[in-house]
Amino acid sequence: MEVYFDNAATSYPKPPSVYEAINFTLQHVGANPGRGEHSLSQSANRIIFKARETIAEFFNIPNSRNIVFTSNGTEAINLALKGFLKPGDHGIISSMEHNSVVRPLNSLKNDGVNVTIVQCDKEGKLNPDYVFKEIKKNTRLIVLTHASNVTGTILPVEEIGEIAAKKGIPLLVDAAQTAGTIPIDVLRNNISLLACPGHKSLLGPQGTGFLYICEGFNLKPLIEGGTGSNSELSEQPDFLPDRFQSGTLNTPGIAGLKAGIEFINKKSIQTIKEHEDMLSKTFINKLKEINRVRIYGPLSIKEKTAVVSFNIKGKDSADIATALDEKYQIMVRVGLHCSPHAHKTIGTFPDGTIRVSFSIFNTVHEIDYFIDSLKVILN
Amino acid sequence: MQKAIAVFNSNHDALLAEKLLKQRHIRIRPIIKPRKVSSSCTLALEFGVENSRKVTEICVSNKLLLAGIFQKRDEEWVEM
Repeated sequence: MEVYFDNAATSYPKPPSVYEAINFTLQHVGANPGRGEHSLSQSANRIIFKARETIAEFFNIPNSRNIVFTSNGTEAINLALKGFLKPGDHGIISSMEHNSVVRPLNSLKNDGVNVTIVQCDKEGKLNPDYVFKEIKKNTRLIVLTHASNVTGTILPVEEIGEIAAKKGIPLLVDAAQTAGTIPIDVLRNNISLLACPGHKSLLGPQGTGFLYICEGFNLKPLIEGGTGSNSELSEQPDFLPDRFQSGTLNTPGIAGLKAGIEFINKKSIQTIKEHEDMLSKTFINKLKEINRVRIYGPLSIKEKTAVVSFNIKGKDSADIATALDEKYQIMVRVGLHCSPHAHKTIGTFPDGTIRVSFSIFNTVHEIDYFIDSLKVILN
Repeated sequence: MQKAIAVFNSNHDALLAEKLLKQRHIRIRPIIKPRKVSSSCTLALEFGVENSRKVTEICVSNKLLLAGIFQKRDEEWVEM
């Protein structure tokens, strides 16, 4: 039996409708969207348009033109950070951020951007007051992951959104670990910029993602070129989404992303969350019974996504993961999960943890198989 | 019946207009934008000229990037 417990990296499998949408688009709507006058190009264009509309509705985005497709969440974050922050600006992030946030900001530091990392507690929880205290006159952006990819800890986006709105500072949310399992309302949560990968809990294929840019927000494009519009001009268009949408889009992938979100809508985000919560709870309860196990992050299901990080005292996590993979075809992820600051926060740097992450398609039977296999390995 | 066309400066907005006009039960036909009409989107929406005001209103109230509404007179496209 093959068991895939690495859904925080990318979800697998996808709903059958996602494969079908990609296949259909590749085989029957193979034209370039927005680049031709013919009907097939317009059909491809309609796929892109409908995908934007589906995303807009899902995140309560008032106008679908404010959605810019990217190839993943990291590209969306890079566009937001490098397109917005200027020398002399100050940004605030949490200590649970992924390298997708930390590395571009580190690069911007060389250009004169200052960054404050607000420390989270040992479970990865963030006190909003600490963020408030770090706001300076030149604070131009607050960046927050909605949930940690290491511990699953949900961060207080709503409270930070209120602080950001009160102080007139834009909030960029990295929803890599929550989009598709926790409802996100960009208006209610005062989110100015929302970066999402399409291939995780939104159940789309790899190579998809998007950035929501709120109305009137002035970003500089990172990539310029053909947009299928204003072709007579040498300048990049100044309107959305074309300003940030140069080059041919990943139409089959975007069709798959649309199908992924439609699957979530059909099933309901609440049903998906309840299933994943049940899996996390079952897993944590069974894991706790194993000797020398240490679980990191909150144990309360209400405070986390379906991600569980743990270590076994005296054992190398890589050895355990190798044995799980080789002998039992169970796939987990070990190490630092591209989030060294998060591991420093929870005290697992530089060794890292074994990370298990679930999706709607995992079962209790798979968890039982994992626990039984782990017990055999440890004995 | 006399026809008019609406043209847009953005492909996205042309499709958004198509959706909004259909929702308001205005009969439209997507066509390839005539070369003589200047706008940056290749899609044009054709409709009965009697709906011109309604189409304009919908486009303006939804802040769409409408490049103009045109009507063919003596083989020339004239902005309305």
